[in-house]
Amino acid sequence: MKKKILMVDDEKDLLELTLMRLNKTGYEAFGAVDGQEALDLARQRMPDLILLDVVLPKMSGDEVTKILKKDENLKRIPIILISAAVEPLEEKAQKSGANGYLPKPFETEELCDMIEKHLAARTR
Amino acid sequence: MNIKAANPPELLPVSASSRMNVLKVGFIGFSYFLAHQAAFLFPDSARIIMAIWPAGGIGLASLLLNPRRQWPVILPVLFISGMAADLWVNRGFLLSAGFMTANILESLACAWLISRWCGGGVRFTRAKEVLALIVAATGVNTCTSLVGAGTAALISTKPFWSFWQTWWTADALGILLIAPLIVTWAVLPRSLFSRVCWPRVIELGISMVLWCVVAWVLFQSNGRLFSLSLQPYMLMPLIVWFALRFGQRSVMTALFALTAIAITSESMKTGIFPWLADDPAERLLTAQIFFGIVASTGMLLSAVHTERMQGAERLIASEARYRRLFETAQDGILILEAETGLVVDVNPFLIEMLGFSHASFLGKKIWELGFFKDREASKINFRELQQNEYIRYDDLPLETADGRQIDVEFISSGYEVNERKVIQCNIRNITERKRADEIRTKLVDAKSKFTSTVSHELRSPLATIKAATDLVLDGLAGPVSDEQKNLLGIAKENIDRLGRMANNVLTYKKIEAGKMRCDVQENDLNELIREVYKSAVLFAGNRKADFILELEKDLPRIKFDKDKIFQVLMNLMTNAFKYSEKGNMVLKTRRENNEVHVSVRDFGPGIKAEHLGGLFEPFSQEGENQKGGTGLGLAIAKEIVLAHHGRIWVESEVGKGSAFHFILPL
Repeated sequence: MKKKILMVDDEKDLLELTLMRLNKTGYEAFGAVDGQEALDLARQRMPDLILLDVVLPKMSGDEVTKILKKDENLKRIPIILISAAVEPLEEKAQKSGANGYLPKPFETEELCDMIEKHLAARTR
Repeated sequence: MNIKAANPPELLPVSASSRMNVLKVGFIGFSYFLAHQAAFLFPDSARIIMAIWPAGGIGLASLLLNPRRQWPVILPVLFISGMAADLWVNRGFLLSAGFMTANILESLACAWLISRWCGGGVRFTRAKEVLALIVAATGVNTCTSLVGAGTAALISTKPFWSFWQTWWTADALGILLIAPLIVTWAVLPRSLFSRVCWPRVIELGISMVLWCVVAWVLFQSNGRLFSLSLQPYMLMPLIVWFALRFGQRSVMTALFALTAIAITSESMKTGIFPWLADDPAERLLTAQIFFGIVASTGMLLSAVHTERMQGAERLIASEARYRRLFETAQDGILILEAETGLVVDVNPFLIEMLGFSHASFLGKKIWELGFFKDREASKINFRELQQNEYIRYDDLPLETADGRQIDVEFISSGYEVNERKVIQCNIRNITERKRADEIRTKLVDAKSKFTSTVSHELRSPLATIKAATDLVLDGLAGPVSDEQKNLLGIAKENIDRLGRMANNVLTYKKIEAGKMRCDVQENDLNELIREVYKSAVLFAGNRKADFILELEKDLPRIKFDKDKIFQVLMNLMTNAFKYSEKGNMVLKTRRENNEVHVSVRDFGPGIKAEHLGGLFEPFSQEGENQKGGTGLGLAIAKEIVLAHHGRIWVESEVGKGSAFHFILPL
């Protein structure tokens, strides 16, 4: 069965492009553009991994992470924070409880490596 | 006038020309000879009834006016001159020698005592100097006149005690009257001639004439002016006049005039003040005591007065100086009585600063002044100040008369004046400075925010472009020809370049704001270099030269911030790629003592010596070799290496290439 990946980013172009790549690479990828939608989709479809932009409308990525990590059903989903912002991403990831982080712009290779790594860690 | 003469240089200085000195000593000798001669003229030297011995004063003055090292020359000259004068009047050689020995001893002892007590530059303008002179004339003279009287008793048949008495009184008067006369006139202030103050000259003339008239009448044989019998004490108010109004020089001149009138007067032949005593010798003695007392009183009075005037003048000068400081200070100054908090004085700057009138300050207590916002608090603060004697507020709000708020730096400290405590408050208006600081802080914040926003907004679309390019390049959007691949490769290379630039700008912003933090952990430097090499090669795209990594095996793990050193290595390596046209570049690591040395060498065009200095400064990109970029790469590298307590430098030769080195401590 294909692994399900949820990507959340308000940059619709980037979201679309990344989803396209992930789908072509063999995942079942779907997207959300704000925090609330992300939470809804996560509950609805139970993804295997979430790529989460930090700067989002309505609710920021790290807040979404905190909520997800408190949810008994969802807290085992690995979350990777992504951001182009200047603030220290690492600190945000640690505080919110995200499993990994990736600054923008990222290498496609980097992204793929990271996804594989976290999925593998979860299967184990 | 005498005040001005307080500290003039010596009139007879140790001249560079020895000719001047010879002339001076000759003059001293001649004067001494003349004074010796003059003494025999009056009043009855044959019976050794002598009123005054002026040579004693000349001898002392010549020593006081000259530095001690000249005394060994002056003393023999005095001795010889005195001997010559004695022999001239057919005195016996032995007697003359004995007398002169006594005279020389007297001058030497008196001069030594005075200069020992009062130091050099004696001008008799100080009470201490006059006292020393009186002690010398009465005390020292007592001993040396014993030598003279002894000689006289041994060699001639003169009665010892009466001879001693005559010697003592005449020499005492010589010392008291003549020595200060010469000393005060020897040094003249320039102002005496340049600034003639006519009312004073006229006043001096009148008093001098009056003095001489009184003295002359006094020494007429009957001492009567018409039916009025003049008494010697009538001279006293006149000498006080000289002492208080004209200073020591005029006192000495008046005394000299008095002595001259007395000695040349008719009554000298029969004895001065015939109404006082029957015996001429006794009458002379009375006169001598009179002279001595008038002289001592006048001189002392003048010296004490001069000293006071000098003190007052110094005080006036000091007051003018510091008053000016107070009046023109560009800070507000407030002076308070410590006991009560009453305002004693306030400077114009503070008046202007706060807009209250001068009168509204005076006589008020500090907490009653309108400009403190919290009256009770300022009262408490004043109590604190009274106890601690020092209080400082870096930023205190005050209210001006027209209701504006100003911010001041307020520093108070206490000190004592005439055993009363005073508190001085220095108040500096920092409103403008604060406003400027605020504006600057706002600007810095705005700049920082701008940089963050710009780089964020720059990086977001970059991520999208990159994702799109990668999709096409990887063939996920349909087949790609080699030519398309090549072109997209170029596009990707430049996307990365933009990304690096945005990163550099951000890093530099952090460095500038002092916000760069190094997350130092133990890492393998060689491994990091291999990692950087991989990325740098990706960035370099279709490169013409490659890197040879010469990494020392078993390099110890050292502590550094991986991301930051990554940036340093990346900046150095991409620079090398950028500038190398031919030949392979070399990256070396080497352990040297307690350090790790990293060098990045290229064989590019090299850098001219004049550009090397500013290479690590931001935006330096000097010379003709500009290849684009933010101009921040090396500046960032330097800051990061310095933050690791390391060093960074460059060696370069035009045409041969450059080598960038940095060292990290173990």
